[in-house]
Amino acid sequence: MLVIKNARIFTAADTELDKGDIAIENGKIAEVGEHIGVRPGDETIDAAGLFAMPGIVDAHSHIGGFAGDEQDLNEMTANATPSMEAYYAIDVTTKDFARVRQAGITTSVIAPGSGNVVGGMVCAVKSAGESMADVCIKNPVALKMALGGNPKGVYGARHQLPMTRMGVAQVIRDTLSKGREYMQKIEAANGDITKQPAYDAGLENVCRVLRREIPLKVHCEQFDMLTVIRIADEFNVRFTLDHAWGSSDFYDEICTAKNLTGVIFGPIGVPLLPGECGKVDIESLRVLDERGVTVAIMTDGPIMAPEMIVAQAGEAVRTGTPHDRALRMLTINPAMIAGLDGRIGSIEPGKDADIALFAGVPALDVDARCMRTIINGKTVYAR
Amino acid sequence: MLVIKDGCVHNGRGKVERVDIAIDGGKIVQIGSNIPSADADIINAAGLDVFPGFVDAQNAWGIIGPGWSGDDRSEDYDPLTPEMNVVYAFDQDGMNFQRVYTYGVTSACVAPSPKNVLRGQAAVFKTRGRSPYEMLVKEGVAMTASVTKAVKDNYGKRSGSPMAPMTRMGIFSLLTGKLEKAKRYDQAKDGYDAGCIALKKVLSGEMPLFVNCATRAEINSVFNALKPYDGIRIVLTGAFGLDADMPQIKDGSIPVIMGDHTEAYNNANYVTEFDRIIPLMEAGLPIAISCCGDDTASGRESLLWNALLWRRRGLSAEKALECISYIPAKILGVEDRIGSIEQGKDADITIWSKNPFESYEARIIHALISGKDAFRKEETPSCW
Repeated sequence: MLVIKNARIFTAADTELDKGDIAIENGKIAEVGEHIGVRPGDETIDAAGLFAMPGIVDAHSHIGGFAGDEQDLNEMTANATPSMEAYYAIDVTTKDFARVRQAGITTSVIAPGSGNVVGGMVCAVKSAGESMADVCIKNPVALKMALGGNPKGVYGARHQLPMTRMGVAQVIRDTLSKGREYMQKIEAANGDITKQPAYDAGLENVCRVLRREIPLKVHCEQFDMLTVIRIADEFNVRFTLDHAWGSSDFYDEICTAKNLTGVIFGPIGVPLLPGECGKVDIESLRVLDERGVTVAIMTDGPIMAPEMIVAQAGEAVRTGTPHDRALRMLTINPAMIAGLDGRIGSIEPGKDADIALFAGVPALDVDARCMRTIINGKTVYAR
Repeated sequence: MLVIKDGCVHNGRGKVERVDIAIDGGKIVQIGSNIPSADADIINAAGLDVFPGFVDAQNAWGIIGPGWSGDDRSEDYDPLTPEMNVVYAFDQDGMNFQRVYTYGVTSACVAPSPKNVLRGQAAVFKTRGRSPYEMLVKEGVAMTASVTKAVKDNYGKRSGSPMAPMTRMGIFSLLTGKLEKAKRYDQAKDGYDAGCIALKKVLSGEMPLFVNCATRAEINSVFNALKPYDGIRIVLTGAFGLDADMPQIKDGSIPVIMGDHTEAYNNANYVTEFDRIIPLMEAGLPIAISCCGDDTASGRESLLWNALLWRRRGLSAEKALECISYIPAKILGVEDRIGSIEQGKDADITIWSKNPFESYEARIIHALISGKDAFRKEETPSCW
């Protein structure tokens, strides 16, 4: 057994401890309490003066798939590529993974890029391991889509669909409509293989969305989010609003959207330009959270360096979000959105022992720094 | 007259004291205890923290956007454009739209993009105003150059018709070739050449040469290539591969503007040796913190974020402030006007609920630019 002793513990669950211990056994959290007895042979980590929190979950990232000039997450050969899987793009040996470990990030939800309207399948990976088989804890998590300037820029330059926002919406509706037709044919065949439609890997994935097994994960900003809400309503599919700049203009629409799984906000720290980048409003997190929306903060890594996920939570605090709520936006909330809250996102018995130890209080003290990152009970980074 | 009373004043040069600041005609006219304020407007800053406006040492605000056809960063028809003057690219609305003063930034050095070997001349502007020339603090503060991958990608990878420089050899061949040409240039004999005229000021040391570099190899090549030119005042920008043991760095003869560490796209900034550079900063060497590099278009949070990133690696709070206020002002040659709270300087002052170099709970309450609160309502009609 490993026992982390005398830490201030933010569990992201019901209890918070000013000073307490965390016992870890077989890679799982065994016990959290004010004083856990240590037996001979137990390993201990003295965390006196340190702040223990659940390993950070980055709800929207591309690490391991964008490496300088090379990229493996945008298959920009067709505007809709639902058969693609981010799983096969990710190189876990890249520097990106070392960097997330140093920042206390223990799980990243890695998505295809936004070059296509329908990018492909999203997966969740831990930050340490030798291969994707080691680190991937859920695949698929969602089906990635993107609205606005990204796909327009890629295909518009080629005079191909989509060149406009009309085109983007049409590609989404076409994809979901074809998926629905495919699904209906399969259902009508009633198990008779001879009557089933020809196998289509992409539409199989779209069916998982239509059956509400996974949400759409949609890159959208400003009024584009209304397009997402409208189409998700039409097809009765779950969705997340990713990036979500400009949310403060549409609180009512977001908060009443019945298929919304969560809002994944960020990154901020970008130049402001009228249109898609005209309003970057991290202050909206306070209101969305108060109104019951499950909110997470992203780095969009490697667009933003991993430690900036905590800095952005700090900016949420600066703009009025209570500190404990901001920390939830880095931990249990992204875990819930990814459907992984049974396993990660909080320090509770039975969950994976993914823990970050900080000197200073992250998202409150500007100089708080990750001193140790633990994944499945093993230290994967220590200063 | 305006008096800021009883604030905890961090002057940007290491001094912290509870004093009043009197402002008149856009300038700081007096600093001291119990300044008489019977006829003055008063900001009661008791319990608040007061800072000099932050100075961004290099950015692209004002030359990108705000709208259609608003990208004026790169005159890259040619890799050598020392004659370009950023003053003519600067759009006050592009700057105003960024609202960088909401994160304490009241001045910025604006420079052409780092995609050219010789990029053109930079200028320092205030971050809110009604015209470029009203906002201008000083033009021609630096000749900017670049020796990074951004240049090679821009020219060497042009599909169908790549042109020089494709390699670092190409970059330095072009750079030194142009300097040699300028050195020999005589307008009476050779006729008008705007580039050479501009570079004469660099060769004489009148205008510093800011060189965007990322790797240690690039930095070493800069030193080696420019060794023959005694008069050139080199400033490294970006400089992620900085070797703290280089004599030119240790003795302070070459100032450095450290680049952006908040993005991780190409990992060029992953090599910075924070632990070796921070002691030099604490010792008072001219090393500024900025968000520059190959990707200069950053957000209003980015400058403070970079300072806080150095804080997390051990830099003290007052030094982190100095690295984004007085030190960049000094490197830019505008410390007579901005960068610190001292008598006679522009009243560029921000007032916060707490110390933003300590806590994320710190909120900005006032941002004075030349004595006027930048949070005021619009005074001039603007489409933005």
